[in-house]
Amino acid sequence: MRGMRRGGDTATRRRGDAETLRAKPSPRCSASPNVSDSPRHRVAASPCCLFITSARLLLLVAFLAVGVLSTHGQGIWSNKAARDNYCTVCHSSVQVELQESAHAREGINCVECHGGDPKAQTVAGAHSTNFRRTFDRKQIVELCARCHSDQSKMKPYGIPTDQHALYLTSVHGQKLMKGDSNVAVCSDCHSAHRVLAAKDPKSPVFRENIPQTCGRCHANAELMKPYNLSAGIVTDYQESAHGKALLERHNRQAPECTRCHGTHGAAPPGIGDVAKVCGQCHTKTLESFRQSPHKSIMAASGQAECASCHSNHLVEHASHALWGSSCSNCHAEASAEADRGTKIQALFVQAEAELSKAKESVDNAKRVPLDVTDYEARLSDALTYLVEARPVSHDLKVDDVEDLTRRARSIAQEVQSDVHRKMNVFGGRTIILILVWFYILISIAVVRRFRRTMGG
Amino acid sequence: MSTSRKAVRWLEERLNLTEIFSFFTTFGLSYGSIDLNKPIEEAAREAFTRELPAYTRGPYILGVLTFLVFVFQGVTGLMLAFYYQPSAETAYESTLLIIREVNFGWYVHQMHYWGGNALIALLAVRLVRFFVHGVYKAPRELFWVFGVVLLFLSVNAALTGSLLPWDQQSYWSVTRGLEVIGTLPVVGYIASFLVGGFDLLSGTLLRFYVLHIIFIPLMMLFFFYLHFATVRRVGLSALPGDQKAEAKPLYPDHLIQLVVLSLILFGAILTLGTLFPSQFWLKADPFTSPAGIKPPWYMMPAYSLIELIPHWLAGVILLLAMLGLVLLPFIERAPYQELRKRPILAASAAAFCLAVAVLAIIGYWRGN
Amino acid sequence: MPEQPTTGTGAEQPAQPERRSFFNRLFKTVLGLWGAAFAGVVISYIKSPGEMRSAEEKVKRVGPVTELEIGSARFVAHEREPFWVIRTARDELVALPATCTHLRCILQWDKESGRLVCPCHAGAFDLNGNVVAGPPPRPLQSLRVDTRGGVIYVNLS
Repeated sequence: MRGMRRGGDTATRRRGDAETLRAKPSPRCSASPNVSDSPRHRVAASPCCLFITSARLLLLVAFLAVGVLSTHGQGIWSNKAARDNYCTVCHSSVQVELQESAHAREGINCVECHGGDPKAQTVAGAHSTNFRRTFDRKQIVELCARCHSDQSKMKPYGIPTDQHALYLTSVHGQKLMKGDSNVAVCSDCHSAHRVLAAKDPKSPVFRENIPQTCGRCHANAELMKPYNLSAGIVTDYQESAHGKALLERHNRQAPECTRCHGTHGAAPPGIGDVAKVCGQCHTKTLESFRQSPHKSIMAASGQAECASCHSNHLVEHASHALWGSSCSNCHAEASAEADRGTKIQALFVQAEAELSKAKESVDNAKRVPLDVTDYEARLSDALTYLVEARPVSHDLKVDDVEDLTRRARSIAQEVQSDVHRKMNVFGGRTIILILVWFYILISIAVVRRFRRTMGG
Repeated sequence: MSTSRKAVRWLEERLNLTEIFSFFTTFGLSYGSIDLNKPIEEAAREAFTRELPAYTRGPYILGVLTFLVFVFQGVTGLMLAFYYQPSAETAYESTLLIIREVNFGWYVHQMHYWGGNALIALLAVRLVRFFVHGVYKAPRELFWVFGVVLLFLSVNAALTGSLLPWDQQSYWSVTRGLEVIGTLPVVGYIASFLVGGFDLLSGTLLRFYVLHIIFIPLMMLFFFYLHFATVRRVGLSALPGDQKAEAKPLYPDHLIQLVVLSLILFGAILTLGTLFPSQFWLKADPFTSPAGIKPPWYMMPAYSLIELIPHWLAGVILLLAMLGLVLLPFIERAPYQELRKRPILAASAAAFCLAVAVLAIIGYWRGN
Repeated sequence: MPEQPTTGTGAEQPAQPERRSFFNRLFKTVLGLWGAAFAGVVISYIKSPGEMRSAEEKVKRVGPVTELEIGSARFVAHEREPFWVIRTARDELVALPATCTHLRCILQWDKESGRLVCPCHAGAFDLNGNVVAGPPPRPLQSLRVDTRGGVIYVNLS
C-alpha cells in the first residue's frame, strides 16, 4: 500500500515537471496578443501548480524570463534579412506577427509585399520606392497569387498552385470580380501577416478552427443579409453529428465546412451533387442510394438528395426514427411509400431489440459467471450485419434490409437461446437437488425399516 | 461367503487386520477398547454387538458427524487438487476450469466450500453443547481443550482455503481475515512467520496451499485422534439428569442412525451449495480493492471489534478470549455439571455470546 | 414401495426369515446405489481432461513449407503426440511420431544418416518408420501430412 502511495506522489511530481516544461514555450507566444493567453492561463489555472514548491516556482519564473529574452533575440536578430530591416523600428507589433508566420521563416519580409526601402534611415526614405501602404481587396488576391501561382516558387514546398484559379471559380471569387468587395479574400481566412501552415493548430485554417473562421462572416446575420444566407449554419454545424465529432471528440476525420464546400473554390454543392459529396465518405450509402428510385426522381424534381431527410448543416446522428418521420416530408401519410418507410423502420427496431435482449442475457450469464467470450463474438457479428444494413437501407428495398436484419436477429436469438440453455443448468441443479433429496428420503425409509426387521 | 472368509483368513495370517480395524474405531466409530490379539471377525463382532449407551444418538452423534465431514472435506479436497494449480497466474484459470469444464467440478467445488463451513459450524455447536452440559469437568479437561483447538484449526483451514480460488472476493476477504490474525500479540507473529508475511503475494498463495492441504489437515487429524483418545480413556459423559440412556448394540442401531444422519447432512450441504453457491468474482487484482468486501463470516465478530477499538487493545482482548476458551476447564472447576447451578458462569457465557452476536451484526451492518 | 411384498407374502404366513432377507437385499441395494453414484461422480470427474483433450485440434498446423529446407526436419512439440516432419524432396514430406516404440524416449533426427535415432538405447528408424537398428519392437506409424496453401498440416487422428 505504501509503495502505491509513493507511486502516486511521483506521478504528481512528474506532472508538475511537465507543466514547467510546457510553460517554457509560452512566452514565445506571449508576444502576439491573439493566442498568448491560452497556454499561460492553463498553467496558472491547473491545480498541479499548487503542488509546485516555492523553489520550483522560482525556477519557473527564471525559465519565463530566459524564454522571453531568448525568443525575442532570436526572432529579431537571428536572420540576415531581419537584421537589415529597419521597418521594425516603428512597426514592431506587425513585425512580431510576421515573425511567427511561415513566410518569415523563408525570409519573406515586409518589402516583398509593401515595397519601400528597409535600409533607409529616415521615415520618408523607408516609405519611398514602390511603397504601398494598403491594398484593396482585389489587389490582395493578386498579390498572393504572384507567388502562389508560380510553379517554380511553390514546388519546393509541395504547395499546389491552382488556388488562385480555384478561388476565381468560387462564389467568393466571382463576386469579387464583379466588384463586390465584401466577400472573403485570402487574408480573411489566412490572416495578413501571421500566415501559418494549415497543419499548425494555431492557424485559423487548421481543421478544428475552420468552422469558427468561416463563422466570422457566415454566422454574422448582418453580413449575410444582403446575400439571403442564413447565419445559423455554423451553430447548426456545431450541433450536428459531424460538428460534435470534430469539435468535441476531436476526430479530425470528421468533415468541417471545406470538406463539402471546397477550400479555395468554395461553393455550395448543387442539386444532384449532394449525394456525391456525402458519398465521398459514406461510400456504401451512396452505392445503395444510386439504386433507389429516389436518385432519378430527386434529381429531376430538384431536391437536395441526402439533405432532404438528413438536413444539410444540422446532420444529426441518424436513427431509424427517421424512417417513420421523414417520408411524410414528401409522401402522403398513408401512401405505399410511407408504408415502406415504416416497414424498414420496424425491421431495424426488431433487430435492435433482439440484439439488446441478447446482450442483456449475455451480461446476466457473465455475472453468474459463465464463459461468454464466444457469445460476445457472435453478438459482434450480429452487430456487424445491423451496421451493414444501415447504408444498404438507402436503396429502399425492403428485401435487402430484411436479409441483413434477419441475420442479425437470428444470431441474436440463437445467442439468447444458447445462454438460456446454459443458464438452465442452474434450473437443472435444482431438479437434481430435489431428486437427491427424494432418494435420501427413500434411503432413510429403507434403512429404518431394515433396522426394525433386524430388531424384530 | 466362504470365499470372502477365506480371503480374510489369508490376509489375517499376513497382517494384523484387527489393528487396522481398530484404527477405524479410533476416529469415533466406536469408543470401546479392542483386543488386538483377537482375530478380526471376533474383534469386529465384539465391537459391533457391544451395547453402548446412546452412542451415535442425540448430541453424541455430533462428534462422529464432525469427523465424517472432515473425511468428506479430505475426499473433495483431493479431487479439487487434481486440477488446481497454486500460482497467481494459473489459480484463477484452473478454478474456472474446475467450475466450468470438469464433470461435476462445480458440485465438488461447492460441496468443499460448504463442507468447510459445516465443519466450523459443527465444531462450534459441539463446544456450545459441551459447555451447556458441562463436558469439560475433570477428567474431561483435555477433551474440551482439543475440541477448541480443532475449532481454531478448522477456521484456519477455511481461511487458507478461501484464498485459493484467487478471485477478487476471496483475495480481499482473506486480506480482511489476515488483518484480524495480525493484531493478535503472539499468535499473529507466528502466523505471519508461517505465511511469509501478511502481504498477499503470489508466493503466499503457495504457502496457503501447502498449509491448507497438508499442514492443517494433518494437525486436525492428530487432534481428532487425541480428542477421541480422551473419550476412549474416560468414556462417554452421561447427560446431566438422564443417567439411564438405553443401551443398544453398535450394529444395527447406532450404525444405521449414523447412516441416516450422514445422509441428511450430505443433503443439507448439497442444498446449501445449490441454493447459495459461493460467489465467484473476477480474477484477484491486488491493485483494485472492490467496495464492501467483508471478511469470512467466522472472522466477522473479531473484525468488527478491530474496527471499533484500537488494534493493540482488540488484539489483546481477542487473545485473552481465545486463551479463556482453551483454558476454561482449568478456570471453572466447580464439581457439578448442570448449568443452572453455575449462574455466574451462565451469565458471563450469555454475555460473551451476546457480544459476539452484536459484533457480527455491527460488522454486517457497517458496510451497507 | 417396501409395502408391496409384505401384503403379498407377509400377511398370510409369517415367513420372517424371507422378509428379513428381502429387506437385507433392499438395504444393500440402496447403499450400493449410493456407493455406485459416488464412484461414478468421482470417475467422471477424474476422467474429464481426457474428454477435453479429445475435443482438441486433431489437425496440427506446422508452418510454411518454405521454412523447411529439403533434407531437414522439424520437431513439433505437440503435447499429446510429439512428432517430426521431414522434407525429403521438393514436394515430399514425411511425418513420424517422435516417441520411440521401445520405451517412449524422444527420437532425434540424424541428418547424416537420414534416420530417426533413439538416444536411450541406440534404436534407429528409417523414413518409412521401419526399425533399422536397436531394440524397438514395432515400426513407427507414419502420420498423414497435407500441404494446403503452402502450409504443412499433420493429421493426428
